[in-house]
Amino acid sequence: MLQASSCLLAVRYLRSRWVNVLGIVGVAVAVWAMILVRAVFSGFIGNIQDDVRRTSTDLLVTDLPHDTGYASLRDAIAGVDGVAALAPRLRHFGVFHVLTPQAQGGAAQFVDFSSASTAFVQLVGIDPAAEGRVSAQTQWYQHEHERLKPQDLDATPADQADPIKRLHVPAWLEWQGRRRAGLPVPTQPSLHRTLSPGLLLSLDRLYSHHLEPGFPLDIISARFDGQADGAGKETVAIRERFTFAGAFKTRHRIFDDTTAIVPIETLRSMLGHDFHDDGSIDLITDVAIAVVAGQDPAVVQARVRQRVRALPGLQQANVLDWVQQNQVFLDAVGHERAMMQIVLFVVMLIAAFLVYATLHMMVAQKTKDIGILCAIGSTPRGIGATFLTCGIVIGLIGSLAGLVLGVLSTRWINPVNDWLFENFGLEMFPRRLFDLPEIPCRLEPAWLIGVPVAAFLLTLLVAWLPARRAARMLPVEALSYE
Amino acid sequence: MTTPVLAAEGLHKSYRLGRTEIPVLKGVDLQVLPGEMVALLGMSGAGKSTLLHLLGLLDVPTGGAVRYDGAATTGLSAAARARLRHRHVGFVFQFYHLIPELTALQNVLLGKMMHRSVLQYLGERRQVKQQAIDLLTQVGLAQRLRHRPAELSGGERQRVAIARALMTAPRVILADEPTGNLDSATAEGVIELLFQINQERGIAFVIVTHNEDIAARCHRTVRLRDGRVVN
Ligand SMILES: Nc1ncnc2c1ncn2[C@@H]1O[C@H](COP(=O)(O)OP(=O)(O)OP(=O)(O)O)[C@@H](O)[C@H]1O
Ligand SMILES: [Mg+2]
Repeated sequence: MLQASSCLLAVRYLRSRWVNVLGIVGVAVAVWAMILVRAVFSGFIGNIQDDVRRTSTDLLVTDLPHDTGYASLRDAIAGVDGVAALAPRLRHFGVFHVLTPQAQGGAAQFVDFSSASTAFVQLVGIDPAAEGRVSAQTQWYQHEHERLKPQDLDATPADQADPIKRLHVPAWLEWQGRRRAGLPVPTQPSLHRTLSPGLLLSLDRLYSHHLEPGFPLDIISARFDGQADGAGKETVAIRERFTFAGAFKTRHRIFDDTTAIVPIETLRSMLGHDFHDDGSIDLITDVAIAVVAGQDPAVVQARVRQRVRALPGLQQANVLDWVQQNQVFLDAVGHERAMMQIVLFVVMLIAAFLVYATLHMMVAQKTKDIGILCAIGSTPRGIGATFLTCGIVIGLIGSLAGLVLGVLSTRWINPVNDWLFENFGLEMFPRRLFDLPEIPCRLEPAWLIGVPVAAFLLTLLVAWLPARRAARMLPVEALSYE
Repeated sequence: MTTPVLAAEGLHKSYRLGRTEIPVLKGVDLQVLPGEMVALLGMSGAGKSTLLHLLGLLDVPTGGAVRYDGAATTGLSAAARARLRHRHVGFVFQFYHLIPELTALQNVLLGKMMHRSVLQYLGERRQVKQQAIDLLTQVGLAQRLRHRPAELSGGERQRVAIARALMTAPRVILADEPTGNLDSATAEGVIELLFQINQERGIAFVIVTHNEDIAARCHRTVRLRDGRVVN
């Protein structure tokens, strides 16, 4: 029960002390910042998760021994209930070198590692026909910024195509690219037959290396040759020529920056595999799996894991869902948000301390009043309530103001950002850095309610200390306080 | 025999300063009958204010008891003492002791706003407000309702304090040198007011004063000397 006298005094005390506005502003700013920053961070994280999800398959069988073949795994997994499709993947590392006229000035054979036309990539060998069924890669090609269309990647019927040269570009396109790169070509495009397997790079790579479809580029890598038991091992340098076939863009920056997609058979042959030798291993490092729509991926994951580990030599194999596939990256992003929240929490603590300091000061200044109130007959509880009410009012106004400001800010952040940029060339958030059309904002209801409530409770807590001090004052001492 | 509205029985009060105990009151006996006006005299430092604080339950005696209408107040909690004080006594101080942030009217209303929830108070607000205005009118401040203490003269402030003490309809008012800070003409007016209230409302008074003339006009005079009451 709040006494009428406590209420009146609290309002009067607050109104006659502008310093209390400081406390209100402090709480409001803290709540505002927590809501806005969290919304933007969550927006970014949501975008990042979407992007990461786009580059990941439902499930991925990985951590396979280095000489694992696909056929036995495929037969084992394909029968698992809930598996819709699967595709082989082979990862390897390499350096690519662009044979553009700008880069090599006619001398196509010379590789300069310091030049901008050379970059380190992770080669991902895929089976284009199978890959389309397990991942959204075909959607990557249809990105809004895309200048390129996939160059009839699957134009050739599967049974007729040379599997080593899948992802190939049309002969006339390769003819143009080779001619511009200074490589030998027939006099007529019609006399040319596509020579090199296709290779896909990200759109950013396309821009930074001035690539165009049909351009030749070389992949330089290495492999170990020798017996499986390690005897007679030697390092063999590999150099394979590809034709740039097209670009993708997943928006997952790390993936886009480091990935080159090549036909899996090409990569296998680079690693010493002979497609025409039946005894040769159809090498893979991963198996990508699409789960039947409506099935619980976790359940299918467990089934696949059981089936895979039952195979000889695959006890250590792992089956990862899309989050696990990107665990380190997602954890890093989440960690960043947590760090930000700690910073904001400190802001909140400072605001709380501000409230505490002003109320503590108020109690000291009002010691005489406390004595007077005692003389009139106020109970200790009534006196404490007066100062606690001050805290409640500060917390309530501050939290609500912060909430309203926070919600309004997320609404207006993009117009304001645009306006700042147009009129002053300023950007609060450099959107280009993140390659986003606008600042993403995601308001989470729990956070929206939780933050103001927590701020209010915190204010209440810090107001309680001075209030208790006031309530415990001895009437006579308070009265004779000078 | 009438029960005294306020009684002190063998009141002791000593202050502890470090290791030494300084006795101020050494067995004060005092009875104040309903409607009685008692003047309390004594040298500076005799313990008059201390006694008044004990009588008003603002402080706890080291020995003896304070009785309100015959009932002992010993051993009560701070909250219980506050409620009893609120119902039974009113204070008037030498330095007025008004709340500077509140208007004259609000200062007077404060007593009635205590021990009432906001809703309860809002329900009876008109009535209570009228009562406060009537009291301020009676003490001659009908034109000063919305003035803050800082905008009032010393005499006017003391009148507001008196109206505030009356607001809770106490049985006894404890006045600690109510005119000590006023010039003689103003003091005269305030004292007149106290006598008038005593007559009209039958409220008992204990008035601490150094002024023998005022003391002489009271029903009874008691002196504090060496920690005891001398009649
Ligand atoms: N809190 C305290 N601690 C220690 N001593 C105190 C305290 N309060 C009062 N005293 C002492 O008690 C004695 C009585 O003080 P009190 O204020 O009651 O005197 P008084 O009669 O009202 O004097 P005055 O006429 O000057 O107002 C004084 O000697 C004073 O120093
Ligand atoms: Mg005194």
